[in-house]
Amino acid sequence: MKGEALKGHLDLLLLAAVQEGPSHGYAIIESLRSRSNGAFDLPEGTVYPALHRLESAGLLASRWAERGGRKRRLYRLTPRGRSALQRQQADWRRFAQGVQAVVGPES
Amino acid sequence: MSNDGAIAAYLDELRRGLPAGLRRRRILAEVGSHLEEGAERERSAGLPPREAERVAVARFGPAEPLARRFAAELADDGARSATGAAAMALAGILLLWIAMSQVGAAAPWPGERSSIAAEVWATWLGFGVALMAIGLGAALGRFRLPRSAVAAAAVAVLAMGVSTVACARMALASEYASAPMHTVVTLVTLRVAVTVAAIVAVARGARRVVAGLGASPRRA
Repeated sequence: MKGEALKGHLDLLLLAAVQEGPSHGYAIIESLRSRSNGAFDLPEGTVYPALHRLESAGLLASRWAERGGRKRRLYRLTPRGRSALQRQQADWRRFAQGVQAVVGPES
Repeated sequence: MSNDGAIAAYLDELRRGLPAGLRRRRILAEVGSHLEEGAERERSAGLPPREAERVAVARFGPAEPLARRFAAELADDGARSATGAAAMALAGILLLWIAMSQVGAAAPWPGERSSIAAEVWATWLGFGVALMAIGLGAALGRFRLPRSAVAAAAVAVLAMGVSTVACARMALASEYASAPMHTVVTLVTLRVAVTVAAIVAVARGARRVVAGLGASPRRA
């Protein structure tokens, strides 16, 4: 699935990707790819401006961490981010149920 | 990473597309780290180093649209910091004005002495115009909010500058003679410092907004 199809959903996906604990950009992208069984195979650079925007909005916080001689920027959910994630998850489930009801089951 | 490799070339292109500053350094370090990690995995999978870098860069996506997206984010940040600085400076000016009134060096209200009234009203008129610019810009949708917000902040600090100059001129002309001299000097100096700091902060924010003009849509 390309970036255009994800329009409006990227924030939710990124917040969900870091809900288990702090993660860096590379790992977030890997997580999106593997958890979606390869459906979300975005150009990797796409997520960074979104991560920065979510941080500016106070939904994520970040810090540098060094492991194995490589510095990485780790992102984690803030309390506001956790609330926003819960809200967006609920919205998404309602939306998905509505679409499913209209589209119908796989024939 | 070789200096003439695909990663170095990519980071150079990205650097050229971003406004200078602390945030640019962070973005370049973060993207560089990501690309290095990607190239390392490709090398581990058996690709030669140059090919590994090329594949990592290709997976990351083109630099120019990425730079535009980041520039748009930086523009929003610039607008937030500019309007935040203007609002804090206005609050500071108001507190200093109250402090001056406590030591008997306050500007009286309009009608008492027109030269001093102008000093007060320039600030609050500017502030009002700034608020109207934000509201109109957002309501009419004629400008993106960062542009109208930073324009409003610029109007506000301009008004602050005018009123601070008026205040300093009056202090120099001994119009505050009824108040203790050293207190007046301290308060006026503080006011000049607050105004200059606000002008610098708004100018920096405006620069980031200008750098982000024409950027692509912000959401992927």
